[in-house]
Amino acid sequence: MLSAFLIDYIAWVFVSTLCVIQLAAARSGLWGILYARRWPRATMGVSTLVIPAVVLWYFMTGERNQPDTGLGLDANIQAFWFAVSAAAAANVTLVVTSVINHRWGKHHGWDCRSGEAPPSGITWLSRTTFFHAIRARIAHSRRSSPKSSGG
Amino acid sequence: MNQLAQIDEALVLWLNAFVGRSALLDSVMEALVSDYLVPVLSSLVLLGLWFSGTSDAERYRNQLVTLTGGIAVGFANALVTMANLLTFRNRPFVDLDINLYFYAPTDSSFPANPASVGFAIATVVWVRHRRFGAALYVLASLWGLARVYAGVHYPTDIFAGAIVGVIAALLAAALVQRLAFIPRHVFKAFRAVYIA
Repeated sequence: MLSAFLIDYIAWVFVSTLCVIQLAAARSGLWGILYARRWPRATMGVSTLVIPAVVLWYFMTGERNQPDTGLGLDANIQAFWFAVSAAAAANVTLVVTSVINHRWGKHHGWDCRSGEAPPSGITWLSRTTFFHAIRARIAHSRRSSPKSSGG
Repeated sequence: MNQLAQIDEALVLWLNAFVGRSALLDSVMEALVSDYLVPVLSSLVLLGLWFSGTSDAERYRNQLVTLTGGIAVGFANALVTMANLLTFRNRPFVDLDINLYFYAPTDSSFPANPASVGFAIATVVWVRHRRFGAALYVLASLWGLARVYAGVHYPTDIFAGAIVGVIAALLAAALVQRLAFIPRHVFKAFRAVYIA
């Protein structure tokens, strides 16, 4: 059972991570993982405002200086839940932006019939979505596996 | 040493005397002294760096910073734990007439773990990104200041913690450089599934 303290911490980290990823993606041209691909500057502006707002919310809605023998989180537990919340936010971003940008992401310029491997790395998410990228990777693996080469 | 201890005590008492004088200052310090604000903000910077970069090479360097930052935090905690096995110092609120503005930690005051963690991450980031690193140094310093304000650390605890943090960062950077083939292979696997 998660305590209210922990739920607030998870919510803070989750929302902040969503904003940080959007900020980094907008600055780095990773259009495929932006919620509002057409408005990168607005994305940066909103993210920059939401991050301190969430900090204010967290510290103004409860007594946060609690010992880890009481309601507070010890360092290891804090690190664990930070990782869980951040990973969840990253996954939500990849899934939701794949849906939102689905049509745009189809035109990524890689042809599975060419025989060449698709580009790797987050950099390709500047031209396509996460789902399209994974799909391309799977398609290429299937084509280049020994069974698929005929015989 | 006696003189240093006296200066230490005088500084804590002077700074702590501001508690209760200004509601705004107390609110700001209450957030800064927290176990959560600076670690979360610093970690978010590392996370942001993971996704940042306009080329594969730049992104790889940024991701190495994120990895090194995580390792540096581990080293900083380990070094503080080792130091605590060798020496124990009472917190200021134990020995002095302090207006304690935090809960009462029971572990050693010296060196300050928060300072070691804050300065470890700041140093790792500063090596590659001066502006972000400078901002993190300011944040780590404010965290240390808030800890003295609240009466849970002496200034020398913060100073020692900062040195431990910088050492931890340098050790982490040296380790990552020495074992560079490991992140190179791991990141290659991550790039195949578009998470690096």
